[in-house]
Amino acid sequence: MEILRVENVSKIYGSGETEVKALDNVSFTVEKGEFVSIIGPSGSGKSTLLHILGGVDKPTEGKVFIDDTEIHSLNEDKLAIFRRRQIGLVYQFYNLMPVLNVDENIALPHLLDGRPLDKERLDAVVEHLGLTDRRQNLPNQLSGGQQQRVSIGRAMYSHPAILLADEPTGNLDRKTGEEIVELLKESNRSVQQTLILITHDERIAMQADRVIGIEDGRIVRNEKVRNLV
Amino acid sequence: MNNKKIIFKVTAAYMKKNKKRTLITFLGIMIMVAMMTAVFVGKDTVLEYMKNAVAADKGKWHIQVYDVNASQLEKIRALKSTDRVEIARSLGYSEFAQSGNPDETPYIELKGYSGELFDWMNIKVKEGRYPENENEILLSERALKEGSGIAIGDVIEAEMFERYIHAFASEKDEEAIANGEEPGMVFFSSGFRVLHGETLPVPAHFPYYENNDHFEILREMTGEKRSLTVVGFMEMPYYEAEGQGGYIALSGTEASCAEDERVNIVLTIDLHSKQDCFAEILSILDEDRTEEEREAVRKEGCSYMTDDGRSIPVEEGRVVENNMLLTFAARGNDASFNYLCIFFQVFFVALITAAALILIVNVFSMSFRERSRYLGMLSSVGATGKQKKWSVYYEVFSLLLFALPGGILLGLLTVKGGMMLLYPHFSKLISAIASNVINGRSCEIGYRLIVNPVNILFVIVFSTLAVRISAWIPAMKISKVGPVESIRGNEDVRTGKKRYKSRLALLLKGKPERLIAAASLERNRHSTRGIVRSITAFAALSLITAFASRSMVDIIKTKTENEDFMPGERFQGYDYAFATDDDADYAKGKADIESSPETESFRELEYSLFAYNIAMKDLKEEYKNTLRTIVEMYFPEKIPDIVMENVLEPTDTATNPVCNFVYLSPEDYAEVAKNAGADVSGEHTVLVYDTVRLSTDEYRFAFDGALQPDYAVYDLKEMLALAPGEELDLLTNGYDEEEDRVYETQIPVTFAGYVDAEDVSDFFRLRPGYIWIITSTETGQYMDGLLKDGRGILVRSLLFNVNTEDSSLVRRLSQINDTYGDSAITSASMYDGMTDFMTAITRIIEITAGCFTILIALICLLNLYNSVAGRKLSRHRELSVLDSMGMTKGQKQHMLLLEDISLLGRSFLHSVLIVMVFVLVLQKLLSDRFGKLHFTLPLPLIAVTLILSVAGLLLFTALSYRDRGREELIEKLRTESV
Repeated sequence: MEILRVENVSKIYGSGETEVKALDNVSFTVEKGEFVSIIGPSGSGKSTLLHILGGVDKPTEGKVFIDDTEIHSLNEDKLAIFRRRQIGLVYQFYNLMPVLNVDENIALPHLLDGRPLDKERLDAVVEHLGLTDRRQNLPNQLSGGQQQRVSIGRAMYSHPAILLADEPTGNLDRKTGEEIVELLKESNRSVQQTLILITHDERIAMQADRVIGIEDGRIVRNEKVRNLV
Repeated sequence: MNNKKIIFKVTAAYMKKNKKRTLITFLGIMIMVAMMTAVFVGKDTVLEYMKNAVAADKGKWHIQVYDVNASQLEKIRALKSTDRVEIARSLGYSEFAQSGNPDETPYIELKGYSGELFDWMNIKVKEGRYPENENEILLSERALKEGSGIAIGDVIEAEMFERYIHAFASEKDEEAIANGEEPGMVFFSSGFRVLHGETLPVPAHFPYYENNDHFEILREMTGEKRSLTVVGFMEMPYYEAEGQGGYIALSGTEASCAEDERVNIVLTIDLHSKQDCFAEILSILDEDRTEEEREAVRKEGCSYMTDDGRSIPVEEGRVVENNMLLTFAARGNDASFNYLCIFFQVFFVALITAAALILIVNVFSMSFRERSRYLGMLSSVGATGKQKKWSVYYEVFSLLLFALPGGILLGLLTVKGGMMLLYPHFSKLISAIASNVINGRSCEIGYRLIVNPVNILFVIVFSTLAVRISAWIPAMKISKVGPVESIRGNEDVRTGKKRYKSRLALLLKGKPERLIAAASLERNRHSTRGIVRSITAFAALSLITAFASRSMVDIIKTKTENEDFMPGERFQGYDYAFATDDDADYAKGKADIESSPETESFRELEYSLFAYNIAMKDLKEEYKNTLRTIVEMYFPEKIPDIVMENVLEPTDTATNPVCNFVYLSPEDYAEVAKNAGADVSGEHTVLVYDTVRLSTDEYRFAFDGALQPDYAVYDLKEMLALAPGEELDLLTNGYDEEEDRVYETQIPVTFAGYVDAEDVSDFFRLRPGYIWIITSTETGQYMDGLLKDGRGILVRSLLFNVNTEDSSLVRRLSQINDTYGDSAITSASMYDGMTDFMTAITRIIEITAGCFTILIALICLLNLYNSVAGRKLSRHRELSVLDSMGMTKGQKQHMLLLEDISLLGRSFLHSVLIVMVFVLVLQKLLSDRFGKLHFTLPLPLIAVTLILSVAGLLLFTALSYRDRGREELIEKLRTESV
């Protein structure tokens, strides 16, 4: 069952001589529960694509459908509500709320949606992420790996349909990076959460069901990992 | 490159990059300089204006000394504290055949002025020129106005004479004189009095009287004959009154004094001299007296107490100071004004410094994170703490360099603008002060900015000091920034090992806005403190200014209230006032006004001063104790028996505290009672004004051994030891003319309750120097019925309007004269004008404080904007995360509103604490100086401050957090991610 459809998406920054085409007529679909890696060199447009998929940036042309809803036709508030219910974002630099502790950061999207906290579920997520003794710490009291775990916990707890991860291991050592990818994969497997992960790392990319390669804003490959192997 | 240059260069680059922040700091410093300029230049400008205004009224002289001989003159001239001395000679009277008003003013009163005296006494030539010798005169233009045909060039052949008055003595008086008792006397409205049987020279400017059964006017020819050529006409001098016996004529005179002559001298003093010129002159006058003469003067006149405790006797009116002028030149005999000026100058400078300090500290505090990055980076390449400190100093002092000329200019413009706003009120004030003496003389007083280079130097020094003090705290902090902070760059949020408990209640209830708002405020320490500091500064400084200006009004009100009874709105707007001291005439006129079809509206104003006494037993202990405190200020060691008997422990009726009465129509009385919530349905009820003021002005003791304490005043509330409904016995000493005896009587009335100023404000304002009692005219009649003579000094006037321009009623009433021959009908406009003085002075202080508050508020609002904008910048990560997590606009606004409410709450709490401490200290300081004062709460200003604080924060929040769309969000995310 298709959960994401990207139709002819282009993104142009600037104009005239300074015009940069970050995405050029990109189209693809993602099935529910699928784990897709997007790989490409720096400046290829992969983060731009992820921001457009996450509804935090608008395409110059083209459409993005999530669960048959064209997200960029929604107004600001509806898009915000859609984002917190359907999309979980995990960034390279974690983007946690610096003033909230671990528990509060994890519960944030859920709370923003006006739903009261499910304490048992929160305990379970925190325990699963191995943050039990850190739950009263602020982000800057945590290591990079712990911060990324919180970021993933935030995405797991609110149970969005799609998890978008932008270089989640880019800032971490190899061992921690692997643990993070394992957590993401587990989330993908256990609750059938669709996972789209941006990475430079071919080795991580190969753990996905499918790999989409981008260069100069265009999709240069879109293949099942089985075929690649 | 110099080791500081690189720091300066980097700092300059950052200043350029953060243009908005740099502009805010610059504006803050410039406004601070402007305010310093306004305080220094404004004070001098206003005092100069007031000096000119007072000089335009009474002249530029400082001291007049009467009856001085040649040796005394030389000694006074030789004093270091005197500047210039001129001579005024009273040259006597002469018949004035050309008088157009011979029934009232048949003479000329000739005076000789030397040198500068024409200028000092504000003699203004209307036509012709000043006299150049003793045979030329400048004549008062009153002579022309009253119909004289005299012209310039005419010569008056004058045979000079002096005038004396002799009061006839009856047999009874002669008997009294023979028995060594005091005979009766003749009183004149000027206060001059002559004992029956006595012959005295008439005082200057004495009216012309026909001889009558009580006294005769004598003249003594001096034998001097003069041919006086009229060389010009002058405006009436300030001391000339309508109706005086001679038109003032001024001639020139020599500035020297013959050995056997006595002259009057007028002098200016050296304002920079520290010597007590007044005391030195009195000492010179006292040197020639024998001990007997000295004792006689002490008995008849008064004594002047010098700073070193010497008491010098002086005849009443022999040495006169132009006290208002000296006061505005900071040399008045009452140091309170100087104290007030200096106190508020220091206070304002401190306040401005505080505002600038908070702004500068905040600017650096809000940008600490960003600065820590570049300074940490510099530190990592070897910048020392001192060098980093210099980055702060470089920033503020480079801004100060440009802010100084701009600020000084802005300050001058502020003073100019303030004076333009104040000018109408100053004019009102001047006319209120001077209206009784100017009598229509031209009194146009312009103002100019007084820019004293010393003041500008003060501005530069104080501004530099203020900036240096303000920059010190951030400089110290920044000097400690190390390379690690530069790398971490997250100084704004608390770090360390502390644990932060989850706000479970908020989490469980699903209140994300409250959760984030609370967490953000608690954990974003710099930005939260910055905003709290800004609002606190704004609210506290504005409130402090409001309290200070209100205190100033209160002090000046207390110090300047001269009118016991000030008519309120209900007594204003009438054209005519009918008043006469003859009861029968008054009753006749009153009936005429009440019944005349020409009368449009009327209202009777009636009050009596020193009407009755209240027994000490009916007053609370607090009253007695306060009275004792005041008496002890004069006699700290032992209170003389005479004072005990006459003040503290009254031995007869007249020595009990006196009270004044106001009589209102039954309807007005009922309205006042209703306002006060008092029941006046009983018989012969009275209401008592709830405040009585006991002060060193009301109780003065000038005899030997009495100290001269500083002014002290105590406002007592609800002073009676009686409950509403109880009987109050009014005591009085009356004189029974039929039986020729003094009798004592008690008038029982019912005390119905207290009224306060608010309850009676529509009708009148009372100076609570004495206990005031308000009752109805009906009760007044009942009280009259128990008396055999009048009730104290009765002031009674019927104010009315007529419906026609040519009123026969007014013509009829104007035929009635009082016993002094004055018309019983006058313009009622004086009742409107009586309130002008206080209104003007209150408005002046309010406008000055308003201008000051606006400038202080500007600094504080800049500070607040900077803090709010800085906080927004410091939390861009927070906001972008919230956006990307799906926070809606509504939720964001709700969160910001909750934050603002919390910030306002904290700030107001801080402000209240600061203001309370300030108010207590201010009250203590002022009370120590001026005695216990009644301070009023500046409620409107408190409300305005609170509203502005709330509005300012909400507005700046809305401006700083306005949504710039998704472009901003992605930009923020980009800076934080790839």
